[in-house]
Amino acid sequence: MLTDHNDAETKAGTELVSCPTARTRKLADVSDENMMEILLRFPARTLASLRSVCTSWRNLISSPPFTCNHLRRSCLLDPTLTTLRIAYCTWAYRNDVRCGTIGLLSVHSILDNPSEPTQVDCFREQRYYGIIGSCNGLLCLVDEHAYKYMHAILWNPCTGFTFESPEISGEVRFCGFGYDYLSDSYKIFATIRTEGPSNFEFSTRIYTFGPTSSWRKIDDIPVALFGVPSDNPSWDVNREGEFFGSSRLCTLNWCVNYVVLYFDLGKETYGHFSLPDSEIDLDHPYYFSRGCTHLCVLRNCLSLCYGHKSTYEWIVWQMKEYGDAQSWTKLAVIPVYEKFTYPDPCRCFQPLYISESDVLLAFCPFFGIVLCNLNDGSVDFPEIDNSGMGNHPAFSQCVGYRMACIYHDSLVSPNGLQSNSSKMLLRFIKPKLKPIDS
Amino acid sequence: MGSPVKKIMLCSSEKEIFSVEEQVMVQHSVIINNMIEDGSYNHEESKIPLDCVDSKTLKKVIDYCTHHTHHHNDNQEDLEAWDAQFLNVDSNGLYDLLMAANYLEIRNLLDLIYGTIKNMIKGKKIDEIRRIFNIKDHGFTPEEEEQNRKEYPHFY
Repeated sequence: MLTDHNDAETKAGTELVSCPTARTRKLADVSDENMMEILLRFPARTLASLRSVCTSWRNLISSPPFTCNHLRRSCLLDPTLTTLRIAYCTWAYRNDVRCGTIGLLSVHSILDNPSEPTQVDCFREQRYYGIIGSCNGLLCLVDEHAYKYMHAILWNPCTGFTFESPEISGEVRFCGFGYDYLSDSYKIFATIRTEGPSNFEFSTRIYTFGPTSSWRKIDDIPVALFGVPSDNPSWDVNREGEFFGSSRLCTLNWCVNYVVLYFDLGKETYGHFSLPDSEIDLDHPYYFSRGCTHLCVLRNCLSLCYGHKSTYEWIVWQMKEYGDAQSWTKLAVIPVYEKFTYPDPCRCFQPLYISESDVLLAFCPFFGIVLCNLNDGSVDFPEIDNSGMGNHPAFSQCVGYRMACIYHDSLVSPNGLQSNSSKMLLRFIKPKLKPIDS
Repeated sequence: MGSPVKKIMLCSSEKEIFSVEEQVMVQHSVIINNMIEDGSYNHEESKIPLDCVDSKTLKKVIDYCTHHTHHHNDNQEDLEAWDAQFLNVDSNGLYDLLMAANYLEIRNLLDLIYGTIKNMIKGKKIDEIRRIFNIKDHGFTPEEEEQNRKEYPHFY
């Protein structure tokens, strides 16, 4: 392109020495390729606002090659290009309708300065959406209407992208959200219970986010997934599968019937492996049967947290080599604290992240966020500024569902997908100005 | 051993010839390295025509490559200070350097220029960015522009 331009110039007359610079040859002429290199150096949140400079910048920043490249850079090369955040949901009744609020807060703000209140960005929903998972900066929410039918929503909080799936009827039992790198697509898995003519029927459905996609039925369904996630039907604990993605495979994982049951999102097959061989008492009424366990991913390893049967300490294990049950390694023992230790199946300690300096950040249902220093065993309760939540309880009332998940800002939207949500699903609540600012 | 330093000839768009140490250009420019390696450059008679690089820019590019070849052991701070001074040019000059570095595939110079342009954008309001990049028609409908303004008020 450059050579052509100058060939023309040469033909026109080589004596015009300074002409290339004297004309309008300015930064305006920077090619898309170069512009991409320049813009890739900005954090995702800045890029979201730079989309409003002009339509060509917007198209460039929203294009799949750009968003993928930025995601790769922010994960592998330059962590300053993204911000790690916690997303959690809480709800309250408004005019007899259960309405939810999603709070977003920066992990590093909590870790770097626990005593300085971390601001929560609040998004008010028109209904109640539960978070079922997150992946590549996308949150997957589900809206269930009286357990009769549901639909899923994909939301990128950084760009505002939202996409709604079609509805599916039936009651969702196990579910999960993840990325299938083989087909470069985002999928939801759900086992659905529907009322048949004579009895209940179970089926497994897959929804791949796409413009014309529908809930596809797959034949195979393990018996373990027929039931409810826990034996107490009012607590849908552990129903959301934990997504584990590596360059080799992408799976959703549930802790069920004393094993980790997984679903391979690429091959669409199931498998299982055993839990750490330990003091876990399988016969103890409060353990797996009632779901007092929590799967999570810490430092790229599938991890398990459960309460010790007699000491009530929280024990965290890491599976160093995914799928190899021999590689379970005990990572941490969280001492008993009356604020968040209780032998209650719906209150499992939920580890979210471990910092480079070995501080474990966890979410405790009914309580909030806890920092555990794994080096010296100290525990800290970071200050959170919940003022934007209004009359919604900050952290309480959150039973069932995955209440919190960790994600990083990205510009990703599934390939070729445009927002299809005409109504504003989520409304950002502007934090009230403190008197000192006004 | 004692052999004279190998030189190559570069020819600017004004047909001005620059004689440069071969090693200097080979180390920095992917394209010149390839020409030397595949033997398409003949030391007796070849000149590398750089029709899209004017003399002023080519001289700067050669300065950059020469400095970074001979001072690569300097401490990082000194090198950064030198780079900052080197890129203290107006935006047209920066654009010319970008084009030249792009054409010659000088990776570290490109990175430096990308970073400099990034810093020109950083922290700026939308109107300033549009001015820097000479964007007269942003292409948004009035409704879209209004929506953007609502979404990113701090940026306007």
